[in-house]
Amino acid sequence: MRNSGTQAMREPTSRWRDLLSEYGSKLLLFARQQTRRQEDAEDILQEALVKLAKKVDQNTFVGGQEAWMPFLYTQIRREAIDLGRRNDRRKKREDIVVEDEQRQTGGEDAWFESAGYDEERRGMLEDALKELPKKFSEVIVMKVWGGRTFAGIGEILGISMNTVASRYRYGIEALRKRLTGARIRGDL
Amino acid sequence: MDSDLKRFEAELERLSPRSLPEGLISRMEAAMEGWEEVSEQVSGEINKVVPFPPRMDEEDEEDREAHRGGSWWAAAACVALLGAVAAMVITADLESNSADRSVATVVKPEAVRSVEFAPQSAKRMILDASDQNVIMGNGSQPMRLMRLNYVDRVVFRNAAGEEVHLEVPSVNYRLVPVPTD
Repeated sequence: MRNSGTQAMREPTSRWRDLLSEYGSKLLLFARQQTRRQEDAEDILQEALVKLAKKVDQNTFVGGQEAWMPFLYTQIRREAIDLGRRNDRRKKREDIVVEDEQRQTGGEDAWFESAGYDEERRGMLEDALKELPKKFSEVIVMKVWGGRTFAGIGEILGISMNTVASRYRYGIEALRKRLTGARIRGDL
Repeated sequence: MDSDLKRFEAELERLSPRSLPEGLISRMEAAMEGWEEVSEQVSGEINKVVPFPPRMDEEDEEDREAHRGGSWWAAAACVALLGAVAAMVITADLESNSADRSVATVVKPEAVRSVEFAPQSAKRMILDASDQNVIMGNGSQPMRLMRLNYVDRVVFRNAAGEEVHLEVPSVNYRLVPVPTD
């Protein structure tokens, strides 16, 4: 039996709660990597989740529950592309300003938890990940923090498993070099 | 992948993505549960949109004929209405303010006559000429830049012998080859 939106707010144990609790942070991280702003990431994640819920409720979803995550990753990516197309040049300029401000203030828009990790190194890693070309960082985010396989990522991105693997290797290597460089410069 | 990279990969895995705040989970949950309401809202918004009128080629011939007839009547009605309003304004103005009578006087079309002037003579006179500079091109002949101030004078005359004199000043630059030994 479906609940309305307001009822769902009152009942914290809806059927989607487990999915959100377990995978929400991973999906939001991927959405964050695909967009410039935290708000945009939240919006595209919501759009993707709503599309999943609609398909499941209408019995038009192809595949079982194991196909939900690949669907969500694919959908988040599509929503991000659509959002990028909708944004005009003015908004992009505003986003760059916001990004610069976020870099200066730091912390408030963190992608990762600080607990259990050296704060300075976390910041450096995060910055290095943000500066990586998107085609590398999206593979790393899906593999390391999304738990996706190379084959699964290939299906989501529409590329071969070998391409995914090489992008992952180059991306990891580039990240490591950046952090090593930071250590040599004395930033760490 | 070498051992350094594997160590680095393991280090990355120790990082945890930032967890979703409770408020955001509730928002997502509500959106997922209430997707039908969202769809209804969207379709409601679409219903509010006023569509563009259909193109002429989409209408059938009968409608088009009726449309054309209607537009002629509408145009005629507009002209009549404009004439009536203009007459009322001018009349009211003439009656209320005699000082403005000359302003409000309507010139009759038959009072306007066309007068034809034909050009009788045209002259170009050099008023002034000055030497500006000598220009040396790459291996080409040197040229002197001259500035010439002209005035074009044209006289028009009509059948009654009336004349209209037109003067158009202009500036012209010319390059004159400089003789060299």
